[in-house]
Amino acid sequence: MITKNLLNDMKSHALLYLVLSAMFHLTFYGESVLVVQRYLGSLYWMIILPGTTLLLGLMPHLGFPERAAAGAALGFIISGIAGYYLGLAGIHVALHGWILPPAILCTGIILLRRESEQ
Amino acid sequence: MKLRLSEQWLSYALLCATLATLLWIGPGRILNHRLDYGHPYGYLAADTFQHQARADGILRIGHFRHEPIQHFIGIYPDFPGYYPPVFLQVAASWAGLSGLPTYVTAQGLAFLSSLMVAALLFFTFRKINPYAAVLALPLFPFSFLVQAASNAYTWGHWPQIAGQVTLVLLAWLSSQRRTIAWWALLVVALMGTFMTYIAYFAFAALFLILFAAGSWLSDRSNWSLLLGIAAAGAAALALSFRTLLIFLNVWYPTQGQFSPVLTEWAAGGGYLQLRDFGLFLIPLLAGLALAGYLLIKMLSRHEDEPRWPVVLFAFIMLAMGFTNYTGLDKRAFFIRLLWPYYLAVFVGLALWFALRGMFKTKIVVGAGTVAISAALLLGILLTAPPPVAGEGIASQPFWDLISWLRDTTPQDARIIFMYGDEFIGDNLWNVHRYHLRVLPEDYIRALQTMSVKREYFTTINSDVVPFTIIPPDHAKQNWLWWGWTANDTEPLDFYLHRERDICEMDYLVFATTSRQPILVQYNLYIASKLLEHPWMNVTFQNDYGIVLRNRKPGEACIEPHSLRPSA
Repeated sequence: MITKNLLNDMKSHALLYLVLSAMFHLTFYGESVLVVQRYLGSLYWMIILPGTTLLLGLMPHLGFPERAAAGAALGFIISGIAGYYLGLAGIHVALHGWILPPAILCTGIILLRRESEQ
Repeated sequence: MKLRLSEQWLSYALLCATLATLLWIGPGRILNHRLDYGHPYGYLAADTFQHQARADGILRIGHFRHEPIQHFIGIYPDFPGYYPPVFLQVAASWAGLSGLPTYVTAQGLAFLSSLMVAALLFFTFRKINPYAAVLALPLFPFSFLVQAASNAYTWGHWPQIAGQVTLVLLAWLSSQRRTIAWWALLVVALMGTFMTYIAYFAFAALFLILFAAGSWLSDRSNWSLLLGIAAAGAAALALSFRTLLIFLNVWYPTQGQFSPVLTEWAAGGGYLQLRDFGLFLIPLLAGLALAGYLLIKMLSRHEDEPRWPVVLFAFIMLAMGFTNYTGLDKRAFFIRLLWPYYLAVFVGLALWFALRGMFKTKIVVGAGTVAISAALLLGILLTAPPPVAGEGIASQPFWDLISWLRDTTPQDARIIFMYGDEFIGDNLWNVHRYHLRVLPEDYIRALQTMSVKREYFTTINSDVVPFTIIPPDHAKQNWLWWGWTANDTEPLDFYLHRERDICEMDYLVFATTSRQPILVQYNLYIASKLLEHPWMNVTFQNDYGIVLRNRKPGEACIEPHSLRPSA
């Protein structure tokens, strides 16, 4: 059940990423592909993917599009707050993009698992 | 009310088209369809650099425990990072992860915050009516189309835009079914509000109090909601304790007072007026009346996923946009900037009501909704005026000079900026060194009197706030949490603005290009006099300016004299 949910989500993420890629490449047509992908890819990894997955654990009844929109906002806020406290705890900000998203993703998956067990 | 699957996907496609339109007419036009020019592009005011330089400082220090600008100039280096941290923190860690410069990520985050608000509000509006949500979309582009509004992005009102993501998350949450997760998300959203733009916490509190009151009206046994919200607010403040402490000791003493009525804001505009909506004002006003009626009607029935808070939120954001008349000052204008998103629900409701009145068949209403929305969006996209931002106040040679100072000079180097059109203040923070800036008025006065001086009026080119908070001896009143008191007895000018000896500096920076050629001649004359000494040499030179290295700081490097020919 969890695997199926996550697989479905991964497909939706792939589709959303493709749509966003098209929008960003079209808008920033004067920029190199590499820069646009670094811009979008890192943002997606930091904010949209973890926020959406966390919401999958917290509010599994939501459809993917709504969850992605709310998840982006949630991912942005959590990334900012948790990053601030990680920095105060002495973890360099350059590492936050590697630490926080997996942590939030794991939390989302654990919550989803707990939800499906109930 | 539910849309059929095909209609649902059509509405998502229209949302994507709207977001693509926003991207195109917003960041696309402002940045002239590129992301990284090798220097800040579309930065038109000091505030843009304020946020970018702070984020850059956080990335270099690694944390926001201390204010990075103070940390680097070495005066009050332990002053706490006082600016609300969420926006800066995300901009810094995004740059750290992507390898893109902070001038791209900080600016980009402002644009993307605006898009996040738009996307989430669409789903929030769908709660009221999915057709109205689609019909609301054509109003969204006004947030970038109106020049005064798009200035907010080029003049640096960035954290204020990002803070509204948290407000919209609250609005979205208010229409969701309340579970344990709901309460956890409420605490996170409130923390986000407080730690992204503190003033919005008051707006959030007002919305939540009215939300609780409305819930009590629709379900009389619901006192627990008010208590729960109060507990969530208290938990959010407790978990944001450091920001709360900073608010009480820095923000409140320096910016806590109510202002007189403010009707215009000179800081680049950055907001819009109702009249900017043009013909859309007609459905907007009609939608206001309709929404008022719906609000009362919806309040009278109990729903697990209540829809009325969404309408309430739109009304509150409309009202908050007028609080400049009640002393809330520019904060009202920050809300007005995103009025095209918030008030779009009124337009959507009015158009939907009109469509439903004209056509009885659901499928015709659905087709009409999609057609009208698509046609309006296309019309807006095709008639969008050309971009007006331009390069901004940091040309490539200027940025190369600043980057050279930052990357090459020793960390304890003392730098003085003599005169340059682009030496405006916050942009110079990017050197991340102790640095002074000669006050242009003194430099011009010296030129007018045809004199060359050794001491010029300078300012420590720092953030002013720490100097207004900390007493000169840096003594703490107590050792506990905070300890400093507002420094309202000492004249600020004493610390920041005074005559200082240019010979004491390690590096002297002169612009060699200017819109005022006479000032460049004066610059070059002083530089040539300095270079008469063997311990002075040109250490960097480009199309923008020159940097002189002083190997004997404190040694007499220039004799004060007059430029008038002696009789």
